[in-house]
Order: sequence, then structure tokens, then C-alpha cells
Amino acid sequence: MLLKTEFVKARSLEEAFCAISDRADASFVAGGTDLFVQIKEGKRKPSRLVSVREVPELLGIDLQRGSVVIGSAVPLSDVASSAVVAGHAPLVADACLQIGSPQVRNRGTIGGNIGNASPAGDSITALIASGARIRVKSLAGEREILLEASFLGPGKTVLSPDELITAVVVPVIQDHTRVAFEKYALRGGMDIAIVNVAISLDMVDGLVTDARIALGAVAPTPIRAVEAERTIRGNRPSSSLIEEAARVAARECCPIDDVRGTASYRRHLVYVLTKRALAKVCQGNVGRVWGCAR
Amino acid sequence: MCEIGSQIAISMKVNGKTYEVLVDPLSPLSSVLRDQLRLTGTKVGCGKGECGACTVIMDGRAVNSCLVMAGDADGSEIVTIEGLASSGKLHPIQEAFVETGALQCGFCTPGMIMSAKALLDSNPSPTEEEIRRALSGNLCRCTGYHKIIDAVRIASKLIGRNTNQEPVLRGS
Repeated sequence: MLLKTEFVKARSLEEAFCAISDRADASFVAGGTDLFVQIKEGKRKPSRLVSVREVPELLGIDLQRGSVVIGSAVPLSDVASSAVVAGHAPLVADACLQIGSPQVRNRGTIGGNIGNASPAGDSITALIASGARIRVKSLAGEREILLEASFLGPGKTVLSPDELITAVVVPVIQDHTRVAFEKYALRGGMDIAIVNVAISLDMVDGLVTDARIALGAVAPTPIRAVEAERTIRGNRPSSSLIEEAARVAARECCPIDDVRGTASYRRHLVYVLTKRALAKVCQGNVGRVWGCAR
Repeated sequence: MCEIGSQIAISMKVNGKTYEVLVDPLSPLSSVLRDQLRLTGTKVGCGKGECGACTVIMDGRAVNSCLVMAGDADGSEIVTIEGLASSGKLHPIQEAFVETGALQCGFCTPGMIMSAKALLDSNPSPTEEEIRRALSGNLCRCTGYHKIIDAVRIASKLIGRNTNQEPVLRGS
């Protein structure tokens, strides 16, 4: 093969950090469903790949102090089928089930989906709407970053090359929280979202006390629709309020034309999907996921 | 297996047999299977995990073998299409594909059958929706999918009867 990239399979975090730190242009890899394709296509040429797929410290799903902590190397299929995730972070389970195909979900990992930093990443919008943070580690130490603050652009994050996402920390869904995930793509499987929308609303006595609306594939990074959130926060949901919030969300995103859709089509989809998701959560039962468009 | 160099030795079990192979750690598993082990039943279509023609079962799960780096396959257990028939007898999924005529050119068939096997191993009586989802990562460009889905449904019944020790009636 023409690739001259070294390969190291790390068996522990310590091994992984050793292998990444003594070589410039080295890269961590987990499932390889994105990175290996980029390497094959000549878009990336790391000098060394450090496989962290079997590092035990990255493989658990646990409940810790009010959060679901998902190890970064957990395959997407395990996130989607985990009873802990389904029970305590249902938005994330639902979104992970809509990524790629069974084969891709069996190899691809939640940490990899984040590290790949696609503006259309399905797990990412769901995690942002859920208020997730990522735990990031290097030989220099450990830090936690709010997920929505970790993206700089397509494929770009605030992480330095020697930093590794070790876990995703998702606050446990509250009894008064309602969530929904909507994805629009041409096929049910193996298709990148033209637009995806994830919503989390806190409702107390019929009032929206907090709102988080995350939009994917309509900006250089996944974004929060902060104006739309402001529109509904503190208000009692009604069809006119939902209509208004959906219009505001469509206005505040900044999509581009590409092979999957035009900017104006995407903007219209943001309106439609935000309205649909809001209608579902406002009419639905507390704590349930509505709107599993497949 | 932390050595660094152009080639590394990996060990994997393929269709029940252990192989020690010297590989480029960044060559895809599909190439190791086809070019080094001469198991050419696994097909390669797109080479980027879009089409599913290269699907094999790795440690009990369907994966795109074109997306698995050989270095990552060290220590794994693989089942390919060649591992399904035993003692000259086709696997019930293969029987059902033949009986239903669920193929034309046949290029996607090994991948379809391996995805179907991964499904039926974990869910012996899937609904049509579950079959469709399990095959959503496998593309067929000739037949359309109806006969393929029929074949998986029939295979599920054949396997159920085998399990219950009842005689298998082809196509019934």
C-alpha cells in the first residue's frame, strides 16, 4: 500500500499518550469509519495512528453524580442500545441510532463522531441539546469542555493533537424535561443529514422554564438556535409561539448550498423540523422522546 | 502488539481457523481476507463503508471489512461468507436466497447474507422493519430489495424450524 503511516494499538491510556506525544502529526483513531476513509482518499496523512478502540478506560457507560458518562470509545450501536442511555439520556440514544448503518455504528464511536467534528453529526446536535460536556485528557492534564464550545469549523475542534476525548458527560434527563430529535435525509440509512434538529424543553406548570434547540448541517459547526430558545423560554407553548420560534430558528441559522441541498431548502427544513419537534414535545408526555424520523 | 514498522504480525480466527498473518497494519481487513487468505467471497464495492458489499461478522457484529484496519483486527474472530455452509450444505440464509431468487448479479449478496446473519443471530424472528433496518447499510443495484427481504424472512423461519428439530421444507 502507498500509505506510510505507523500504527500503534494502545492497550491503556498511558500507552496511548506515550505513542501520541513522541511523534509530530500523529493522530488518535477509534473506529476509523471517518478517519480511515479520509486517509484512503489522501485527505489526511498522519505519521502515526494510535488506535484507542480497546483502551479499557474509554469503554464504559456509567451513571455518575447526575450524569450519564459514556466512554469515548463506546461504539455508537452500544450507545443506542444501552438501557442506561435510553433511560437517562434518550435524546442521545435516539440520535445515535440514526447514524450511518448497523455496520458503521458497530465500528464508529461516540468520541469519534465528536472528534470528526462534522457540522451534520447526528449525535452532536442531540448532545448539545442535552447540555453535554466532553472530558479531554493529555499528558498535561484533564479538562472538561462544554460540547457546543468545542467546535471551530468543519473538522476542527479546540482540542490540541495530543488531547484525547475520554468521555462524554450527559446530564440525566429531568422529570420535567421533554426532548425530540428530527433528522431529514433522503434515505433511512447510510445518509448524512440535510438538516437535523434536537430539542430539549423544561416545562413546569405549563411554562417553558428552559429551552435548548440545537441545529445541525446549517452552519460551519453544529449551533444552538439561541434566539428561538429565547422566543419560547418563559412562555406557555401555543401553536403561534411554536410557529414564531420555528421562524426565528430558520432566520438565525446560516446554511450553505451543497450536494445535499441548497441553503434556502435547508433554511426551510429548519423551520419545518423545529416546528415539528416543538409541536411533539409540547403535546407529548413528559420525559419521553418524540419524533424519531427515520 | 505495539511494535512499529511497515509490517506487523497479527493473529485472527477466520471461520473457526486461526491465522497468523504478516500485514500492513493500514491495509483494510477486506484486502487481507481477499488477497492474503484468498477468501474472495467477501466483495469490495466502494471501499468507504457506504455499500456494505464487504460486510463480515467481527466479534459477533456486522462490520464493513473495508473500514477495519488490519492492525485493529489482531485478536479478533471473523466470519465471512465462506464460513456459513458446512459439510457441503448451505446455510439456511443461503438456501433462502437461492430459493427466493434474491439476487441478480450477486455482487452484493455475500454482504447482504452476512448482515442478515448478524441480525438473525441476535434476533431470530425479526419484523420486516427490523430486517429493513439491519440491511440499511447494504446496497443492491440490480434487484430491488423485496426478494432480499423475503429471503431473510424465509431464512428466519427455516432457522426456527431447524432449532425445533423439525424437517426443513424448501420454499414452504
